[in-house]
Amino acid sequence: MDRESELTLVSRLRAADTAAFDEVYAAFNARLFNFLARLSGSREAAEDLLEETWLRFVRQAHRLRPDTRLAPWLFTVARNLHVSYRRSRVLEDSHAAGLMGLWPSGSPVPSPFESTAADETGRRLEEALGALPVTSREALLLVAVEGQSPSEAARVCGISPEAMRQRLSRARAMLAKKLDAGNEPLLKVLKEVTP
Amino acid sequence: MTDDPRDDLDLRSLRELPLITPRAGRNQRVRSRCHEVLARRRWLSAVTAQVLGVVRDQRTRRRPHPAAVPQE
Repeated sequence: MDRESELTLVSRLRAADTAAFDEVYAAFNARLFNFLARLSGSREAAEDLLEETWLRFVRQAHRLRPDTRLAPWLFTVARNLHVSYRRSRVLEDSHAAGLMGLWPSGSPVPSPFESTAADETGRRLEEALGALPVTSREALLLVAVEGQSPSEAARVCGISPEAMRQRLSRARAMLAKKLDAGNEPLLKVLKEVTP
Repeated sequence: MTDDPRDDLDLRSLRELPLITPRAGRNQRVRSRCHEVLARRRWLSAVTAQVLGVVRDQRTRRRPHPAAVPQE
């Protein structure tokens, strides 16, 4: 979505335009769900948090600043809702054992996620990510998966860009260590999953 | 590390993680709820505009036009 289209959408959203909402929903729903699912390690929790993110978005739509950037707005709300969710549940920091919670249950045919996760490399990467502390996980998800710059991710997480860079550096080291804990050296794994 | 995440090979590998999709039924319900909120907002804006219009009309009617005020 280019900036001009984004500004037009924001203007229409401020007037509560349903079609504009549908466009934003189509552009961000899967991305937000993936972020929340991998952050929480639970499909159910991610669905609830996603619903609340969208409801907050439409309730605040008329108050959006005309120059609002939609991605940071949405990811900040989603991330903050996840923080509240964790506080309310006093959850453990990692969810390595909860990976299966992301898989659709009772599906007659394997979803793309199931098929790929069955792949050893993907499974190991997913497990390693899930075993990281939540602050490291959210940093990696925002920067590596969402493609945000460390500065943008810092704004979403409410920390300084420098703190985000440090967090990313630690997260990357931890991820490498966890992947190396298996039998295959990290570089081999990364080559397999890098185009 | 530069500011561009694409420069980082380790991080780029995570982009290959498969997309997980939310359940369709749930999606539909969420969209419907959001549409309702937006519809309520449009209705509220329309009503507010009408009320403000009426108030503005009344004020205009009460205030005499400058040309109607007798000049000394």
